[in-house]
Amino acid sequence: MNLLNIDNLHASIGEEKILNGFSLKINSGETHAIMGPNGSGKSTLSYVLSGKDDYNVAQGKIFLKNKNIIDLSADERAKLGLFLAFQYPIELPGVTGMTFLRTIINSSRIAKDLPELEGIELVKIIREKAAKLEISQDMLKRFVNVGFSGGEKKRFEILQMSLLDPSIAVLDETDSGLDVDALRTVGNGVTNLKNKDKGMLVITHYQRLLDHIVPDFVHIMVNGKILESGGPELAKVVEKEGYKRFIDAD
Amino acid sequence: MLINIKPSKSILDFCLPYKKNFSDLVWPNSKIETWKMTPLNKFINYKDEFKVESYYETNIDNKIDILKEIDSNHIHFLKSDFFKNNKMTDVILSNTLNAFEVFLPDNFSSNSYVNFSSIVKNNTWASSVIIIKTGKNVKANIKFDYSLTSNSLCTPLILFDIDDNSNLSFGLNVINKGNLLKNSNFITLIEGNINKHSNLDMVVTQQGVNMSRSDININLKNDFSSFNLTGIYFGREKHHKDITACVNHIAQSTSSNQIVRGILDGSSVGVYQGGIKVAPNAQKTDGKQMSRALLLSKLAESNSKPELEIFADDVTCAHGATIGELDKDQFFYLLSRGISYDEARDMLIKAYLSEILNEVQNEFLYNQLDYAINFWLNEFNSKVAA
Repeated sequence: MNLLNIDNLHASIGEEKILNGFSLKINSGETHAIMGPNGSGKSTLSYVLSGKDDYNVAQGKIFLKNKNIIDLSADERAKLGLFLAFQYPIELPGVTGMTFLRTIINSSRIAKDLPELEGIELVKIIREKAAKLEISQDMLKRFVNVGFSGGEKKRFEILQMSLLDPSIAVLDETDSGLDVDALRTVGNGVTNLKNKDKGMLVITHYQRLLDHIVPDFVHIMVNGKILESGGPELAKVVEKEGYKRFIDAD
Repeated sequence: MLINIKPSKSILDFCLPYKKNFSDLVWPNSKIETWKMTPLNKFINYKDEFKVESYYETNIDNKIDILKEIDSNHIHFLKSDFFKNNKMTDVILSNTLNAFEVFLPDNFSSNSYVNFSSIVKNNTWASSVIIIKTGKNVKANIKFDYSLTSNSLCTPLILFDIDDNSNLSFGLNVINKGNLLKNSNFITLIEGNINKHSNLDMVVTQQGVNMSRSDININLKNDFSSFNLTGIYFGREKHHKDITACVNHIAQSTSSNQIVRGILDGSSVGVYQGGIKVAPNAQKTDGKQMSRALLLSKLAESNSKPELEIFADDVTCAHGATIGELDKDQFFYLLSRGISYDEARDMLIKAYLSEILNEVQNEFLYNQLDYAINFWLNEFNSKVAA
């Protein structure tokens, strides 16, 4: 089943055009990786997909499970099953991890016509999933992302992803700011969430994340569009030769 | 129990020179420095005749004898420089019809609270004088709730005199369903004298009425006395909210902390004027004040004026004021998790206010702040839904 279909997307911020006819299809069970040099539009793609207001979408369509979501707000897209793991997760002083997770779980359940969860049942689910990602109870009592290390922030993103169980997860440079051990924990956490019903879009500069989250397809993005697509071997070429060849070809 | 203690002869005599008809009153205006940002002559605009009356309901048990007439020995409290020099005093005393003293004797101690509530009816002006006096070693909680209706005016004058080694928590809440009111104005003058090793914790919340001002002057008169103010105002539509507070550090090793938060929607205006004055003898003073205002609309306005006046050299004083909007990135982060716009906004407002809640250790005062915040959020959401 086709989960995400991005068709000829053009987007800009202010006067600057960033996405220039980006197209991509992701079917259920597939993991796609987008690699590209700095400034190629990778993070913009993730923000435009998830509905951030700052961008002007001039042309193109985004179908999520065959529904065009281009006019939907960020929360409506999330409720339909789209999840963005942020490159730089936002700090929420005054909002504890537990309160935040409770709220997002129940927002998601309401969207799926499921009864809200409360009390021990809810806490148990959160704790179990947190433990798998080596997230301590203490961390859940703290304000969201405030004072978290780079690794803690990324693990907290993956915890949210595991609790929301999205159809399509977009991981924006999840490897940035991670040491080798944290990369393994996060990589394994994401890999454990892969299944035949989900699709994933992994955005990264480097091959190293793809050692842990093995993609089915790798796409090279330059100047806001895909220049070349291939299998996992394409990431190895980038690792060896860099992006120069693709930039020159554009 | 309903309280309407008629002013005693001593206070009636005291008020006599102030007696005036409503139409002849001179309201504080922008020519007076401390009233520049809240010139009452611009707000007070009543077309109908006022009825002058004032009632308080209280939860005080008849068996507890703490309510008194204000006797001649306590009149001198009303002659202080703060009251004498404040033009609003003249207005309040011109039509005071309810005056009483709450006297908490030596060693009075209670974990529960004494509650006074006053509902000011349509076309009514409620003006009252209240003295809250404690003996030594007192521990008590007192709460005043005010609720106004359209075309009403409420002007309580409150005086604290707290003797040594006492700890008083005081809450003053002006709460109303804001969208129902027209021409409702609340102005209170509060002065506090705090003696050795004593503390006054005060929470002031303002919401709903068209205009409200709490004008507070605290004298830390003896060593190791302290004062903490936590103030929140919520403005919407064309509301005007004002918390003005000055703490006078007169003795050594005194401390004060003023924290004020405002949330302003519509074309409402918030004002915070905070003063810390340190006398030459008041060494080892620790005085802080911080105000923050959150603007929820482009037309809302916040005016802050923190002031320090320090004549001692061994002091720690800090002040600051910030004005901001809800953070767009935080908003997007919450939306991207499937949280609706309204719920995200509520979460961020609560998070903004959580800092002030976390500062309040006293459960009695914490509950008042929490109630005021939730009341406003419900009101706010019902307005948005409408």
